[in-house]
Amino acid sequence: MFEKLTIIGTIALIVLILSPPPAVALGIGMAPTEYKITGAFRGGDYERSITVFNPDENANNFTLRTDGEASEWISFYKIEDVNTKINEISIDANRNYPVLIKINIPSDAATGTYNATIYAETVPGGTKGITTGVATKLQASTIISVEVTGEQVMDGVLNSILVENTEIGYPIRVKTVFQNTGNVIAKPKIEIAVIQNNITLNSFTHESTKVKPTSIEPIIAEWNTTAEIIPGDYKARVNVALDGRTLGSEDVPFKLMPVGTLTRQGNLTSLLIEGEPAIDTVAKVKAIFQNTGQIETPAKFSAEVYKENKMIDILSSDELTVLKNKEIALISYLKITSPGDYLIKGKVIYSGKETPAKEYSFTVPKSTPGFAALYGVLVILIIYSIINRRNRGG
Amino acid sequence: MKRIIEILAMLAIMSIATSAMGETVDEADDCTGDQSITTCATIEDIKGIEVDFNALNFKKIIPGTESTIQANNIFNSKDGKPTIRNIGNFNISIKINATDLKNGKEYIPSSSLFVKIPGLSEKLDLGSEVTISNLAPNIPYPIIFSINASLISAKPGNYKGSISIKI
Repeated sequence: MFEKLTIIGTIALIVLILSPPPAVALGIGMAPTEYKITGAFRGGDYERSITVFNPDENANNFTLRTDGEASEWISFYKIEDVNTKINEISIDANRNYPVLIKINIPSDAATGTYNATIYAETVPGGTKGITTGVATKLQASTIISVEVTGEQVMDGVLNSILVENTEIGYPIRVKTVFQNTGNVIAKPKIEIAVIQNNITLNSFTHESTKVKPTSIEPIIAEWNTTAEIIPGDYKARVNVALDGRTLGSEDVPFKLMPVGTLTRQGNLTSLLIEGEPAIDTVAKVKAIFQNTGQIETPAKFSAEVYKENKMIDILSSDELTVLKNKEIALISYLKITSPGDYLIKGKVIYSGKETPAKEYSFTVPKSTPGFAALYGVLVILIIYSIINRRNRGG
Repeated sequence: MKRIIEILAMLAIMSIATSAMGETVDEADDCTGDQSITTCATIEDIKGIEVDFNALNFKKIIPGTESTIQANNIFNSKDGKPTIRNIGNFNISIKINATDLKNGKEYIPSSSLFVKIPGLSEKLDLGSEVTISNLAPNIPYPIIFSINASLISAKPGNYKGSISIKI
């Protein structure tokens, strides 16, 4: 029996050695390169197809994704199963794969032309056996252009304009509250001029915020002040327009103050771990910081980790900016390697200050053997049984 | 030659497959937002690319020297020399970008990587996305990659990253 196995193994090895190296070619093809859908109606569903081609001599996987303004309208399906969305396809060697594209135009899309790009990409090969090098990925694309037409009501109301006092070096934020009273998504155009003593120091425009029909949304337009700007009284001349029509215009006074004038204040309101901590997992530590000061502040969570009263690790989150009257989750990660009682003692550092420390304790139980461990035991038992039988036979 | 004929045949099938979804129509004439499964592909409208490598191995990099992976214009020569081929039916431009090569926290910046297609481009630094134009259909082009170790201050070790070739 052993001799037979040796012969089979030797033959397999010779075949392996004599075989030519596997083909490593990688290819991608796509058709068509462009689609234009004209006269499309809001709320309408449109179907097209693209074909992805694998010119390789091996089967390959390809991922599908979209990018661009209309990307969220597009989804991919198999031609033979038009109900299940797909994002990855497997194509046999030298074959092509037609993909059904469904384009669902939202009922509140405003009249205009929307573009998206569909990408098909090879899944990058591994870098196994490479000392220093790069894996290769190929990408092909198709551009889709959708022209939405039909009657629409584009209208809105300007509810309020607010400009907060701030300090030199911090951005000026102009908050415009806009209500969309039309039946399509609106993008109001907000033009702002910063004026001091009747001299316009700077002007800027914000037109990227989308407001859905019937929604009331605060729209924040920002301008970063520079060191050349001196403290003093200013006014922002704000003009809000929609579809070429002015909805309102107002001069709003505000103050620019020297750095350090406004109070910095904040609280670490809660500290917790998401999910159940377990051995060989990474726990997500969430520290909620609330900015109660008069100006935005950078904030960073920092903590010490204790296990059985012995410090074993330190944690640190990214530093994030927290706007006035807002709260934010500062995230850090803890790798858990052993069971026991843990204690996290942490604080938030903001604008050169620290919050009082907060504590969070938890227990990690001993792990129970999983399928892998049971499988391992089973393999050892089988090997033991074979050896035992052979010894008895000998 | 046989391989090129095979690919062209597949591309023809591919365009038929696309048009088989519905009537192949002139985009300008009739692709006007009807709600049936109708494509607007034209038979010329196919682009594709093929390379005869799925990874590039610079092996050992010696500090102070440039390491180059030599290329040739024989597709699938199986000697590790990279070749690229436009398998579509019109001239295309390709865009190439690279990630940094990483080894834990150490890294070799992508700006240390270079690419060149002789006759079509100079040696281009992959610190940002580069474009190489005018790849004619069915012509295998050598594509030369190099890494300039004189720019590298990273510690010894194995560094890995990825490149993307886009059409």
